[in-house]
Amino acid sequence: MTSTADTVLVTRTLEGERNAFGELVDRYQKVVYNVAYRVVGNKPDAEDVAQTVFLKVYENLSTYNPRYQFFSWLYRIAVNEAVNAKKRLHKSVELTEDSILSPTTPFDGAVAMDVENQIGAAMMSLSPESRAILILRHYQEFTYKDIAYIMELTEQKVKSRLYSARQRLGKILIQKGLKTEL
Amino acid sequence: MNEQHLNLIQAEVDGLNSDSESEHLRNLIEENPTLRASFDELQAVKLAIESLVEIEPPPTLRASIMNAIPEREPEHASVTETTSWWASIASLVKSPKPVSLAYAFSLGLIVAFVVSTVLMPPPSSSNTDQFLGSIGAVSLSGFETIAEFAIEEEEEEDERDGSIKVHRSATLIVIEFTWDSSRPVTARITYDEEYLDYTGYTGTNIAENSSSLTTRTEDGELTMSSDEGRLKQYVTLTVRDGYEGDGKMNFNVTSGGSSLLTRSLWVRKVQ
Repeated sequence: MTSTADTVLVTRTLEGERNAFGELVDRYQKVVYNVAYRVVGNKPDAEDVAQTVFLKVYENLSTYNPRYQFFSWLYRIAVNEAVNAKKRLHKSVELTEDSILSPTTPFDGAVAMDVENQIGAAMMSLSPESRAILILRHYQEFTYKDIAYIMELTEQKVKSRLYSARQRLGKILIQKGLKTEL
Repeated sequence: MNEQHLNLIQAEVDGLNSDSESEHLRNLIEENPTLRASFDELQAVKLAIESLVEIEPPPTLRASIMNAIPEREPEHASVTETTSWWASIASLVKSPKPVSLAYAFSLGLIVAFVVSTVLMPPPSSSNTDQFLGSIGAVSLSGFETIAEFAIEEEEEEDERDGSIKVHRSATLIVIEFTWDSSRPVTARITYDEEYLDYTGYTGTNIAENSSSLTTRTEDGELTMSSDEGRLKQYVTLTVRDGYEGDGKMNFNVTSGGSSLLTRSLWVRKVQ
């Protein structure tokens, strides 16, 4: 149902109806912002990414293939933009497993964090691609096939990368003593 | 623990196992502590990620997006001018402005779509034509085909599996890439950025339910690939105004690590 309505909004936008695009922004700004935030790790960059994503969507709307769900196409742009932004910005320190566990890292303060913040911090130690795949599966509940389209991978690669990302995050959570709190 | 076990565990965590598969996994887990530990770990990770709460975007985000997007010309406004769209694009390209070029290309695609789906005869029964009919092809009326390279898989030397055709007008070059095989394929095309400017693409996989078509561009290189094969793609490049020399393009097509085509093409500027 949503998909059909999205397609109508896309058509109306292409016909020059600016408000139609505003409706698409209303509908998807929260999910795009959340994906961006979980991948880039901070709110200012997430806001920049979200804005860029919608600009790219607007500029490339005529290339949207209605054979795919609009939101899958939107996620594809969002994940690409967020992952590329994270790699480009290098504003946040990429933390390794060891650095998270080290008592001399900036993450000493993690002991004072609540569990959610610590999980978020643990996720930030993964690669942007791994974070994206975990978010798409667990947070947005996309199917393997949808994730394959969004991340431009085969389904088999999605499965293997998802498994690796989960294993790695699980190891970090156990080492941080978080697993028992879940 | 083997790959089948891993797949079973992951599918269970994702709620994708059938009842019988779930029962089979439960039996395996009871007998194998390693499997149980893996399952518990993945389950814990799932719960951990799902415990993350959504955050609200800043209230200014919508306004900043809407303020940043340019006004869009109604794209159907010039649809009836089916004979003059090309001239209008050409005139815009001669005095290039970024926004005008984007509108010009969008306008061209829309008009071409309408021309191909409304004015052209219905597609024939071949897969390719069905594909073209379903999404609307770029109309190449007024273009000259300046090169055509056949692509053949190594195992079947006599059978043509794809092609790259290069069409051009005074101001645009359209690369038509066709791959009619189920094998994965990647086409990499490099071009002089001084001479050509990437404008856009349209196309899709021919195969039903395929979702692996990819097109990327970066620094004078564009890549089209499909893990599931069978695709048709048009890429449009604009000849930069004021450039007086010739432009070189390199084409490289691979499948499964094998090189199927390596060719170069010099394109002379039309005066």
